[in-house]
Amino acid sequence: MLLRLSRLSFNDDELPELCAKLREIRQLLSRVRKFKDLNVRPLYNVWDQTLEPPDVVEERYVKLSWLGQGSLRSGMVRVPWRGE
Amino acid sequence: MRPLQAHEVINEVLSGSMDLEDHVLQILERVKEKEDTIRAFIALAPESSIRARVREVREWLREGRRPRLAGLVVAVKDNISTSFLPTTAGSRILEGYVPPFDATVVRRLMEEGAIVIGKTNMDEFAMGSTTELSAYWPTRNPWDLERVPGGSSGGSAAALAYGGADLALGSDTGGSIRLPAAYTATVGLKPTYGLVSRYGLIPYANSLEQIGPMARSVRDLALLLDVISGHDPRDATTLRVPPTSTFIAKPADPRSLRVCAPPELLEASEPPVKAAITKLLGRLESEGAAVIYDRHLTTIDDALAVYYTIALAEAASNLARYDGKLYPFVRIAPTYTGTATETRSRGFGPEVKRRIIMGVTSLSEGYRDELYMAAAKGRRVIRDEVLAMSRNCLIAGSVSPVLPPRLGERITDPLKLYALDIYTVIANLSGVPSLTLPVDFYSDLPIGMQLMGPPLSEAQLISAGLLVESLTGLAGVAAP
Repeated sequence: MLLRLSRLSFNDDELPELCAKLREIRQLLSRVRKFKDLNVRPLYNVWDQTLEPPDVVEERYVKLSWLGQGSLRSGMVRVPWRGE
Repeated sequence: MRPLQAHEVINEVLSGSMDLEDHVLQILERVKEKEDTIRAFIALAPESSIRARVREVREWLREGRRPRLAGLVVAVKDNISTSFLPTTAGSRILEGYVPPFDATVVRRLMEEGAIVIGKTNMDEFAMGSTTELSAYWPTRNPWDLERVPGGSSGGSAAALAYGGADLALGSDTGGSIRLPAAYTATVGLKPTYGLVSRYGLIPYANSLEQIGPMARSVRDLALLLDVISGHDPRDATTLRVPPTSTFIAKPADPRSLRVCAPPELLEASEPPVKAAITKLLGRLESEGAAVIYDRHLTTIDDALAVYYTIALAEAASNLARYDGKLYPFVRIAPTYTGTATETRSRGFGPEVKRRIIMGVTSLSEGYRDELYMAAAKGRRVIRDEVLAMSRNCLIAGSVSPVLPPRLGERITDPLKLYALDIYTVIANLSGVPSLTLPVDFYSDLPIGMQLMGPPLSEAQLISAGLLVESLTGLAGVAAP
């Protein structure tokens, strides 16, 4: 299931080592369980209110005019390895 | 060996006493001499385009312009987008990819007259601490060819250490600038989260990573930081702050310096590492600095688990884009899922695959609360403890618990590899800046120390770094 969700495949002979290493990593990550029931808000971004974050967040975009004519074809971005 | 420092080169170029072409060609010669053994670069710019760029910058000087990096040779880590050189992030899955745009940091370098010489080797997608996990080849440490230069920005550090560049850019998600700096006697800064634009950085873990400057001296590092820092409208996570002005910083007055040296950042280090840092702290004390040894960072034991849980979850999400549709590398199968699976299975290396699977696990129904959400809570606890301490003093400690490892020593066991990051991840979890600089050598192997401060305290860290350099005499040192 995890392999399918990850869009990854392995040969049968690779799987035992993969599983052994994943078990080790999972053992390390499992140490975070001690925080599960802690009564604090999760911190997703260090710039929360404690640090007075920037008040206005700009919209993210790329303007075609930034790219230059060499990168464009008919007003759209060229993808050279997909052909002209 | 002590090549001229970048700020000395600039002085000579701008005063007319040095021809910038001579300087650039001298570095190219050094690269030709060393690259066969060190292998710091994945891609080098053709000599013809370097010469064309030199002519362009020389023309600017003739016109009376005074660009801050005029003629300085800069190496750029291969996960930072360049429209004029391939950008692979050390991965086969990005082989043949030339971005259609420059990262903001690269554009800023170019506007200030830098000569970008090439793209440096790194662990695939910055997932590693030794540069052995590059899909191309391992980079060797110029101070000892049997040892690693650290990672993931090991190519940038190695190039600086052997004199293959004046300055370099790296990125730091959990120590990837600071470990290589410590292992190669160079200087590296993980800036405050949001001080330097990430626009154009191939993402690994967005909430943790920062692009940062690397150099052979603190003064040179400040020169580069001032150019790349400041708000960028193209990166919503940058802070609304102007570029820094750290180049003019003076060495800190030791009598006004307060340094906390929590035992948790030192005690578990190998004896030579611990001894070198303790000796340096003693020297600072004898110069009049207040060094406090009894403040504790109690959360450090959990930092590695919290860091890897968050980083792997973000990595799994970020790397989902590599499905064989957007980038040149593709393995065609009859269905979309088949193409995506085949492309990813052939394009990613084993460590990246492991991290994706673990990241997917920690975000999955049934594990999300136990792993990812719990780690995000743990991050707040760690962040609050680091911030509280950094309000009262600069925090000093080891960068790596060990001397530069031998090639092959760490990569077979993921947990041994992750353990190298034990002292560095707290700065990324907390968003605070951290400066690494060399403090001593042991059996010809470099030892570095890190200094952390409160958010946006880069000027303070650089002043302290200049003071440390004046005590160690290691500014500008390079491998023979």
